[in-house]
Amino acid sequence: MSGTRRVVVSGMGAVTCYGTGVEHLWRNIVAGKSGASMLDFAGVDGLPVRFAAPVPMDNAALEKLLPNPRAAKTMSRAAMFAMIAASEAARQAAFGDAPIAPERVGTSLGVGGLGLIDREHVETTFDIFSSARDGAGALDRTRLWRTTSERVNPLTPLKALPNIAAANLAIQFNARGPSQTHATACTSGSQAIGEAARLIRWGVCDAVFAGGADSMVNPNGILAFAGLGVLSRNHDEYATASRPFDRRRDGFLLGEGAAVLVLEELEGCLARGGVPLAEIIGYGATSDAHRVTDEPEDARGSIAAMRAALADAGIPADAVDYVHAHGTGTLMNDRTETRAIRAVFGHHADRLPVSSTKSMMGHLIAAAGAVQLVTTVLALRDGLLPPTTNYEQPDPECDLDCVPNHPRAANLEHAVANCFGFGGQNACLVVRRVPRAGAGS
Amino acid sequence: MTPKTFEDVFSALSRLVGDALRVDPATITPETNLIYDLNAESIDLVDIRFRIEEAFGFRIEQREFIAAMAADNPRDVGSQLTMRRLSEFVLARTETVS
Repeated sequence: MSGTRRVVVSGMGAVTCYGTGVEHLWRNIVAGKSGASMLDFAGVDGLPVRFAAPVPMDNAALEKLLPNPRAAKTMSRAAMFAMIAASEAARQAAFGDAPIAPERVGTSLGVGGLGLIDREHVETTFDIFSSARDGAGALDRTRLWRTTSERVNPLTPLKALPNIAAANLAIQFNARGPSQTHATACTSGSQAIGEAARLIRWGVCDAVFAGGADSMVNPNGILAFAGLGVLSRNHDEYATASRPFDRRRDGFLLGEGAAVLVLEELEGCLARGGVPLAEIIGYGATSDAHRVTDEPEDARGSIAAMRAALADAGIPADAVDYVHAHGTGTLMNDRTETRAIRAVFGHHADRLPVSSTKSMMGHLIAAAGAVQLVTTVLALRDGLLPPTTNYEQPDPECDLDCVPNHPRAANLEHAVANCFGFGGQNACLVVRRVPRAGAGS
Repeated sequence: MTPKTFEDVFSALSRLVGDALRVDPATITPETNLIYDLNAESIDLVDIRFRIEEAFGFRIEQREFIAAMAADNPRDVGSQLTMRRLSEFVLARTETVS
């Protein structure tokens, strides 16, 4: 990243289909374990898609994992994911003995648009609607609003505030610097991390809690994505239905969760005894300015994002050793992303591993970019490429080395992580294994 | 729910406040102050009022609620906001309703 202040990751936390904990997540990813399951909540048979990769804890269980359970009163399920992930990241960063000045600590989170609409809220809303019909079945709006005011807890709207997750993190961790909330659909998590890195590089912050959180494994989320035709419907093979880059892919597996990383300025991190896990050296963000859900044929937006990130990092394309693809497993994404990667990396793409952990965890929407950055950092740390599982039949239009089905040891120095979202927003991050002593970037 | 005595109301409210503020109801006494002892913030009072409405089946305007809690001194709600005051308010309303 251009400029003199360098940005490192000093702590990471995650909540995923595997439960809580980054190392637990990584063990499952390296083992190629699918997080998909058949959903079993009441009425699930009415949904067009009945499998997903949910976090295996209900809200009551999540509440018990919060550092301050009372804060749950204003927290959506996604916000609780973020808080639990941030607590793990803070523990690893170990600020305890040498705290950073609170006004130099920021928060930057990627969030989704429907995080509040959990099952319980949907059901309450429908109950209220049903009770507000008059004898002839017509909706009595006066009764509707009166009943709503009587039955919906007045704290509920607070849970729907887009910034409520970041706000709660700032309160919990006494982070008095700027707080940002990014809502760019599937790109939110990557953008939140990239913009957080800029806050540090520009000297606005010395540390930022950065990441993404989302919870769409509920009737509204499933109906929304299924309605758009982007979810896999392969119920018979639900555990292997997420097949990025495979010829038989038929859409993505819906996941949920959060990842939060502590980003810090390198010198300050070292001076306080922090341990850098990886360095964020480049960030690029672009818009297709094309259509909401179609990517342009020429993949110009994703190409521009990768090129901008590499230019920001100051490294040539052939210095990249691994790409964590956006790799959703939809027909369009994987094909377009393949073309974009070939355009950016040229002949180097023939020997460039490109994998997608969405094959196992599913697509965590606004949290996707954050969770995949965690796995990318761990890949650099361990010299181990996470696989794309469920890959059996090659698609000639997705002819990259997708690290099929098994993790692979590799000597890794630089990695790229892609994120592309509905609306045509693209973000790309470039990460380096460990800071090189004395090297300006 | 139509509790008739102070003890009935206090016991129901201890559970209700305990749920709202994530504290053990067994630690709550009539002299427990919601602000100073239980660290309630403004939205907790909104939440508790709503929960009382749900549990006891009557409506309370937020202004009326705060005014009743601050009956001795409108400028200082905090020091008066004990479980005893809350229980007496709810008991009085319960009797009005029934």
